[in-house]
Amino acid sequence: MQVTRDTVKEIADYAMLTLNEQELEHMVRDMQEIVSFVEKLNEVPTDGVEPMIHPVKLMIVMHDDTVQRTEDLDAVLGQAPDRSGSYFQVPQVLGES
Amino acid sequence: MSHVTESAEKTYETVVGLEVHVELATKTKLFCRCSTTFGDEPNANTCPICLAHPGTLPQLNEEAVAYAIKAALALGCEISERTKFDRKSYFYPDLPKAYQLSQYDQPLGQNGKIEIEVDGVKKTVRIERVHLEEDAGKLLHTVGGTLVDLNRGGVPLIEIVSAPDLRSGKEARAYLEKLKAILSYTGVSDVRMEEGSLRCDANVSVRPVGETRFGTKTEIKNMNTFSGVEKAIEYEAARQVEVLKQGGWVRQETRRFDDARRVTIAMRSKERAQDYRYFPDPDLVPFTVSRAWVEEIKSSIPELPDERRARYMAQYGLSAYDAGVLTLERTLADFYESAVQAGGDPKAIANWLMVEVLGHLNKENKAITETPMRPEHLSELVKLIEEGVISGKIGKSVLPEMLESGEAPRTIIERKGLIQIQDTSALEPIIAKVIENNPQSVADYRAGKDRALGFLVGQVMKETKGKANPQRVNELLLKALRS
Ligand SMILES: [Zn+2]
Repeated sequence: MQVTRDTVKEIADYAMLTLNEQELEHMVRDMQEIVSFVEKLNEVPTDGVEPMIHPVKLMIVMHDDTVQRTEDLDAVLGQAPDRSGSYFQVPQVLGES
Repeated sequence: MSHVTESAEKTYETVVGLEVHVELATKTKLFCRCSTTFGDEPNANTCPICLAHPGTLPQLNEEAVAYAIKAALALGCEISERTKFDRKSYFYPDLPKAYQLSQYDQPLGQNGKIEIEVDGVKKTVRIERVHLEEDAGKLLHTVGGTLVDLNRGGVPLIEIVSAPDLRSGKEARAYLEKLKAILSYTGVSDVRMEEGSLRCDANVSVRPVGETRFGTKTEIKNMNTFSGVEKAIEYEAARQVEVLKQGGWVRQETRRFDDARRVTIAMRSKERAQDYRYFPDPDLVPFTVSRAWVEEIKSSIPELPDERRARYMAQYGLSAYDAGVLTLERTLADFYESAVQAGGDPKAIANWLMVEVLGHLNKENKAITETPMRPEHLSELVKLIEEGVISGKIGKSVLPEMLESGEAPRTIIERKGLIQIQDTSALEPIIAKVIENNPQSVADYRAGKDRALGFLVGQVMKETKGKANPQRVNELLLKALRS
């Protein structure tokens, strides 16, 4: 697979990153190397092999439906750079998710 | 029934598919043990897991999985034996992990259906999938900045996706009402619309009648009233037909419905399709849903609205419409059933419940669960009327008090002295007096004017302040007039 400037720009856009010209060039080279490395896997015959979702066979552990209260709301809110009352405050965002 | 819009050249039909998000009634969140209570202080119900602090790991809520399986089974779905959670990535402050845990290609339930009935026509609406996912937080946009409340973040939701089988706003509404009924019967959700515990997105397109391919669809986001969904779909379909008639084309976009202005408005359109980059969540291992667990959950599903409706028609002789109204809410259906079991004519009880009781409660904007009146009291009221102890009219007059105070009807009518006078010896002197005081009417009646009898009955009723049994008065009057 050929990694182009457009591919990188699109991925940067998804990640909400701005890249300058130099960074973009660097990223195209870097990502091309990674993709080529991983592409090696395409040579492995996988017919009849079930997709692996998790490498380790683990049993899922579930929790029961009893509430655990957070004791210290101020400590929770104190982790954030900014708060307003008991809300977290972030720079104004517009538009829809 | 298809909703068809006429135009000069072509007739169009509307095609609708719905995606419904329903909050599950668990006490705790999907991946942590924070409370799901509505209306608490902002961020009071958060912890390092639902705040996405580094190093924390999600732990799946077993009850939420059980509820989702129960809902999927009640909607006729097959339950996947192997299932997993996937990350749906997007950046927005309502989602601290920058991804939502959802289910992409292995939903818990698939291939279900809901039966609806619109204008007497029955229809099966296919359900493509039911999956589990977590809710996002709530944002408040202010001048100073955006405020984030993550109490809702991580609350378990099920998403129910229908096939594009609906053909009008009315059908969409019937589908939602049935869906709500099924979910509240199973108890997996309180389905409180005003708290946003059921939200609906609608995919709407139009196509010329006879065309088998779908037209370009638009998505109307985040509606939380049934009437809003119905109106939004009707409006959007009409808008699309108008665009096509004028030679234009429908743009694939997301729109929102402005209920006050009754229009849908395009939301900021994205330059390209959103890519959520789904991939399996490595923190939660895939899991197996055992058949034994599915069977256990299946056996806990109560009689559902359609079954109960059919039974009410067969067992109590109710009309399809009446049985439908009485079974749409489980609490109402239970109230009816308890009243019938306490005695009295099932049809009469149905009438009293639907017309008088619901009429009164609707005026006060109350549900059947919010009145202290007991089902046995409604049964007693109907029996008192059947036995001629009170008239239907008096019954209607005491019902509001029953609904307010929760007192038994007999207590109220005895206290107010409203018991009908059945006793001939009590009525005869009154009838004699009325005959004496109204010679003209008596003469009219004897001259063949039947209407005069009604007037005389009315006079007796007036004398007894409405407490006489009109039928008995009629008999006694006729006897007196003929003598
Ligand atoms: Zn939490």
